Amino acid sequence: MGRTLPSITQEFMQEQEAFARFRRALRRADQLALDDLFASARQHLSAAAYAAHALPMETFLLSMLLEQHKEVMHLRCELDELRGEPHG
Amino acid sequence: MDALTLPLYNQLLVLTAPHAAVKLMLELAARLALTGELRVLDGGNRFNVYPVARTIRRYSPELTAALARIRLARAFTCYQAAAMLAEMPAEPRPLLVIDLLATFYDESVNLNESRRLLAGCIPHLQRLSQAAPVVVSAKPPAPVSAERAMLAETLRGAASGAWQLEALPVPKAPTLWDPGA
Repeated sequence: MGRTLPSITQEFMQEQEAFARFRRALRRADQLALDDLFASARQHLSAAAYAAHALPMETFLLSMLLEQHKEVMHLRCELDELRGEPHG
Repeated sequence: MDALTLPLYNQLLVLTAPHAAVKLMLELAARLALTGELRVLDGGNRFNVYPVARTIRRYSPELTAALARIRLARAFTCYQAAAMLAEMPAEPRPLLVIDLLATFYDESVNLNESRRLLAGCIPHLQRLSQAAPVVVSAKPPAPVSAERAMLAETLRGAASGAWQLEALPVPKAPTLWDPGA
Protein backbone atom coordinates (compact mmCIF):
# COMPACT_ATOMS: atom_id res chain seq x y z
CA MET A 1 0.00 0.00 0.00
CA GLY A 2 2.94 2.34 0.56
CA ARG A 3 3.31 5.20 2.96
CA THR A 4 0.44 7.57 3.59
CA LEU A 5 2.66 10.28 5.05
CA PRO A 6 6.23 11.36 4.42
CA SER A 7 8.61 9.93 7.01
CA ILE A 8 9.77 12.21 9.79
CA THR A 9 13.22 12.36 8.20
CA GLN A 10 11.75 13.48 4.88
CA GLU A 11 9.66 16.07 6.68
CA PHE A 12 12.71 17.28 8.60
CA MET A 13 14.68 17.65 5.36
CA GLN A 14 11.81 19.59 3.81
CA GLU A 15 11.58 21.92 6.79
CA GLN A 16 15.33 22.45 6.70
CA GLU A 17 15.14 23.13 2.97
CA ALA A 18 12.38 25.68 3.58
CA PHE A 19 14.89 27.73 5.57
CA ALA A 20 17.58 27.57 2.89
CA ARG A 21 17.09 31.18 1.82
CA PHE A 22 17.09 32.34 5.44
CA ARG A 23 20.33 30.45 6.01
CA ARG A 24 21.86 31.90 2.89
CA ALA A 25 21.21 35.41 4.11
CA LEU A 26 22.96 34.81 7.43
CA ARG A 27 26.59 35.49 8.18
CA ARG A 28 28.89 32.49 8.06
CA ALA A 29 29.14 32.21 11.85
CA ASP A 30 25.36 32.34 12.14
CA GLN A 31 24.99 29.75 9.41
CA LEU A 32 27.15 27.38 11.45
CA ALA A 33 25.05 28.07 14.55
CA LEU A 34 21.87 27.38 12.56
CA ASP A 35 23.35 24.15 11.23
CA ASP A 36 24.13 23.18 14.83
CA LEU A 37 20.51 23.80 15.79
CA PHE A 38 19.21 21.58 13.01
CA ALA A 39 21.81 18.95 13.89
CA SER A 40 20.56 18.98 17.48
CA ALA A 41 16.97 18.54 16.29
CA ARG A 42 18.06 15.64 14.10
CA GLN A 43 19.14 13.76 17.22
CA HIS A 44 15.52 13.51 18.29
CA LEU A 45 13.91 12.42 15.05
CA SER A 46 12.84 9.08 16.45
CA ALA A 47 11.06 10.81 19.33
CA ALA A 48 9.50 13.24 16.87
CA ALA A 49 8.25 10.33 14.78
CA TYR A 50 6.76 8.72 17.87
CA ALA A 51 5.09 12.01 18.84
CA ALA A 52 3.29 12.04 15.45
CA HIS A 53 2.50 15.71 15.85
CA ALA A 54 0.48 17.32 13.08
CA LEU A 55 2.99 20.15 12.97
CA PRO A 56 6.40 18.44 13.11
CA MET A 57 8.27 21.74 13.06
CA GLU A 58 7.02 22.39 16.58
CA THR A 59 8.60 19.11 17.67
CA PHE A 60 11.82 20.03 15.89
CA LEU A 61 11.91 23.41 17.62
CA LEU A 62 11.30 21.75 20.98
CA SER A 63 14.12 19.32 20.21
CA MET A 64 16.43 22.25 19.56
CA LEU A 65 15.32 23.86 22.80
CA LEU A 66 15.89 20.58 24.62
CA GLU A 67 19.47 20.38 23.44
CA GLN A 68 20.01 24.03 24.33
CA HIS A 69 18.68 23.43 27.81
CA LYS A 70 20.89 20.38 28.24
CA GLU A 71 23.83 22.55 27.28
CA VAL A 72 22.79 25.23 29.79
CA MET A 73 22.43 22.62 32.55
CA HIS A 74 25.82 21.18 31.71
CA LEU A 75 27.48 24.61 31.76
CA ARG A 76 25.70 25.47 35.00
CA CYS A 77 27.13 22.34 36.64
CA GLU A 78 30.61 23.18 35.43
CA LEU A 79 30.28 26.72 36.73
CA ASP A 80 29.15 25.44 40.12
CA GLU A 81 32.13 23.10 40.24
CA LEU A 82 34.50 25.93 39.40
CA ARG A 83 32.96 28.03 42.16
CA GLY A 84 33.23 25.09 44.53
CA GLU A 85 29.51 25.09 45.09
CA PRO A 86 27.51 21.88 45.23
CA HIS A 87 25.15 21.57 42.33
CA GLY A 88 21.73 19.95 42.52
CA MET B 1 -6.60 29.37 -5.97
CA ASP B 2 -8.30 32.73 -6.28
CA ALA B 3 -10.88 31.24 -8.60
CA LEU B 4 -11.81 28.57 -6.06
CA THR B 5 -13.13 31.13 -3.63
CA LEU B 6 -15.31 29.79 -0.90
CA PRO B 7 -18.15 28.96 -0.63
CA LEU B 8 -18.24 26.43 -3.43
CA TYR B 9 -21.57 25.66 -5.01
CA ASN B 10 -23.28 22.30 -5.40
CA GLN B 11 -21.65 21.26 -8.62
CA LEU B 12 -19.12 18.84 -10.00
CA LEU B 13 -15.88 20.67 -10.63
CA VAL B 14 -12.97 18.89 -12.30
CA LEU B 15 -9.41 20.19 -12.14
CA THR B 16 -6.86 18.67 -14.46
CA ALA B 17 -3.28 19.56 -13.69
CA PRO B 18 0.18 18.10 -13.37
CA HIS B 19 0.47 16.27 -10.02
CA ALA B 20 -3.33 16.39 -9.85
CA ALA B 21 -3.25 19.91 -8.37
CA VAL B 22 -2.39 18.40 -5.01
CA LYS B 23 -1.17 21.61 -3.40
CA LEU B 24 -4.33 23.41 -4.41
CA MET B 25 -6.54 20.55 -3.22
CA LEU B 26 -4.79 20.36 0.16
CA GLU B 27 -5.14 24.12 0.57
CA LEU B 28 -8.81 23.83 -0.30
CA ALA B 29 -9.25 20.95 2.18
CA ALA B 30 -7.67 23.04 4.92
CA ARG B 31 -9.85 26.05 4.20
CA LEU B 32 -13.01 23.96 4.06
CA ALA B 33 -12.07 22.23 7.33
CA LEU B 34 -11.99 25.62 9.02
CA THR B 35 -15.67 26.10 8.37
CA GLY B 36 -17.18 22.62 8.54
CA GLU B 37 -16.94 18.94 7.85
CA LEU B 38 -15.75 17.60 4.54
CA ARG B 39 -14.98 14.29 2.91
CA VAL B 40 -11.80 13.53 1.05
CA LEU B 41 -11.37 10.57 -1.24
CA ASP B 42 -7.71 10.11 -2.07
CA GLY B 43 -7.21 8.11 -5.26
CA GLY B 44 -3.47 8.57 -5.59
CA ASN B 45 -2.18 8.33 -2.02
CA ARG B 46 -1.40 12.02 -2.17
CA PHE B 47 -3.14 13.41 0.89
CA ASN B 48 -0.36 14.76 3.08
CA VAL B 49 -1.71 16.04 6.36
CA TYR B 50 1.34 18.16 7.22
CA PRO B 51 0.69 20.96 4.70
CA VAL B 52 -3.00 20.83 5.62
CA ALA B 53 -2.13 21.27 9.30
CA ARG B 54 0.20 24.16 8.50
CA THR B 55 -2.49 25.92 6.49
CA ILE B 56 -5.11 25.43 9.20
CA ARG B 57 -2.69 26.74 11.78
CA ARG B 58 -2.21 29.92 9.77
CA TYR B 59 -5.91 30.70 10.08
CA SER B 60 -6.93 29.17 13.39
CA PRO B 61 -5.52 27.88 16.67
CA GLU B 62 -8.14 25.10 16.65
CA LEU B 63 -5.93 22.69 14.78
CA THR B 64 -7.18 19.41 16.23
CA ALA B 65 -10.83 20.35 15.87
CA ALA B 66 -10.35 21.39 12.24
CA LEU B 67 -8.40 18.24 11.37
CA ALA B 68 -11.10 16.13 13.00
CA ARG B 69 -13.62 17.60 10.55
CA ILE B 70 -11.83 15.92 7.63
CA ARG B 71 -13.09 12.44 6.81
CA LEU B 72 -10.41 10.79 4.71
CA ALA B 73 -10.64 7.61 2.66
CA ARG B 74 -7.95 6.24 0.39
CA ALA B 75 -8.52 4.06 -2.64
CA PHE B 76 -5.60 1.95 -3.80
CA THR B 77 -7.29 0.40 -6.83
CA CYS B 78 -9.83 1.70 -9.31
CA TYR B 79 -12.26 -0.96 -8.05
CA GLN B 80 -11.97 0.47 -4.55
CA ALA B 81 -12.45 4.02 -5.87
CA ALA B 82 -15.57 2.97 -7.76
CA ALA B 83 -16.95 1.07 -4.77
CA MET B 84 -16.31 3.95 -2.39
CA LEU B 85 -18.10 6.42 -4.63
CA ALA B 86 -20.99 4.03 -5.16
CA GLU B 87 -21.45 3.49 -1.44
CA MET B 88 -20.97 7.12 -0.42
CA PRO B 89 -24.22 8.68 0.78
CA ALA B 90 -25.19 12.08 -0.59
CA GLU B 91 -24.69 14.43 2.34
CA PRO B 92 -24.41 18.20 2.59
CA ARG B 93 -20.66 18.00 3.15
CA PRO B 94 -18.21 18.99 0.41
CA LEU B 95 -16.33 16.15 -1.22
CA LEU B 96 -12.81 16.48 -2.55
CA VAL B 97 -11.56 13.66 -4.73
CA ILE B 98 -7.80 13.92 -5.11
CA ASP B 99 -6.11 12.32 -8.12
CA LEU B 100 -9.15 10.22 -8.98
CA LEU B 101 -7.69 8.80 -12.18
CA ALA B 102 -4.38 7.61 -10.70
CA THR B 103 -5.64 4.07 -10.23
CA PHE B 104 -7.58 4.13 -13.51
CA TYR B 105 -4.28 4.72 -15.32
CA ASP B 106 -2.94 1.46 -13.86
CA GLU B 107 -1.69 -0.59 -16.81
CA SER B 108 -2.57 -3.83 -15.08
CA VAL B 109 -6.22 -2.90 -15.51
CA ASN B 110 -7.57 -3.30 -19.01
CA LEU B 111 -8.44 0.02 -20.67
CA ASN B 112 -12.01 -1.08 -21.35
CA GLU B 113 -12.36 -2.06 -17.71
CA SER B 114 -11.03 1.34 -16.60
CA ARG B 115 -13.51 3.03 -18.94
CA ARG B 116 -16.37 0.91 -17.62
CA LEU B 117 -15.47 1.67 -14.01
CA LEU B 118 -15.08 5.39 -14.67
CA ALA B 119 -18.40 5.46 -16.50
CA GLY B 120 -19.90 3.93 -13.36
CA CYS B 121 -18.25 6.54 -11.13
CA ILE B 122 -19.49 9.58 -13.00
CA PRO B 123 -23.21 9.22 -12.13
CA HIS B 124 -22.23 8.83 -8.49
CA LEU B 125 -20.11 11.98 -8.60
CA GLN B 126 -23.04 13.80 -10.17
CA ARG B 127 -25.40 12.35 -7.56
CA LEU B 128 -23.11 13.52 -4.75
CA SER B 129 -22.78 16.95 -6.33
CA GLN B 130 -26.55 17.44 -5.98
CA ALA B 131 -26.14 17.58 -2.21
CA ALA B 132 -22.78 19.30 -1.82
CA PRO B 133 -19.89 20.70 -3.83
CA VAL B 134 -17.71 17.99 -5.38
CA VAL B 135 -14.23 18.91 -6.55
CA VAL B 136 -12.29 16.25 -8.43
CA SER B 137 -8.66 16.58 -9.36
CA ALA B 138 -6.89 14.48 -11.95
CA LYS B 139 -3.60 14.45 -13.73
CA PRO B 140 -2.89 13.62 -17.36
CA PRO B 141 -1.64 10.07 -17.92
CA ALA B 142 2.06 9.30 -18.20
CA PRO B 143 3.39 9.20 -21.79
CA VAL B 144 3.58 5.39 -21.68
CA SER B 145 -0.18 5.18 -21.19
CA ALA B 146 -1.15 8.09 -23.43
CA GLU B 147 -4.13 6.13 -24.80
CA ARG B 148 -5.77 6.61 -21.39
CA ALA B 149 -5.98 10.38 -21.87
CA MET B 150 -9.58 9.80 -22.94
CA LEU B 151 -10.42 8.95 -19.32
CA ALA B 152 -9.58 12.50 -18.30
CA GLU B 153 -11.59 13.77 -21.27
CA THR B 154 -14.57 11.69 -20.18
CA LEU B 155 -14.32 13.04 -16.65
CA ARG B 156 -14.05 16.64 -17.83
CA GLY B 157 -17.00 16.13 -20.15
CA ALA B 158 -19.22 15.06 -17.26
CA ALA B 159 -18.36 18.03 -15.05
CA SER B 160 -20.38 21.18 -14.52
CA GLY B 161 -17.11 23.07 -14.62
CA ALA B 162 -13.73 21.88 -15.83
CA TRP B 163 -10.43 23.62 -15.29
CA GLN B 164 -7.13 22.73 -16.82
CA LEU B 165 -4.18 24.10 -14.89
CA GLU B 166 -0.68 24.25 -16.28
CA ALA B 167 2.57 24.60 -14.44
CA LEU B 168 4.09 28.04 -14.86
CA PRO B 169 7.53 28.09 -16.44
CA VAL B 170 10.26 28.62 -13.89
CA PRO B 171 11.44 32.22 -14.31
CA LYS B 172 15.06 32.46 -15.25
CA ALA B 173 17.07 34.81 -13.06
CA PRO B 174 18.46 37.62 -15.19
CA THR B 175 22.21 37.83 -15.42
CA LEU B 176 24.57 40.46 -16.74
CA TRP B 177 25.39 38.17 -19.64
CA ASP B 178 21.83 37.88 -20.96
CA PRO B 179 21.87 38.94 -24.60
CA GLY B 180 18.57 40.80 -24.20
CA ALA B 181 19.58 42.64 -21.03
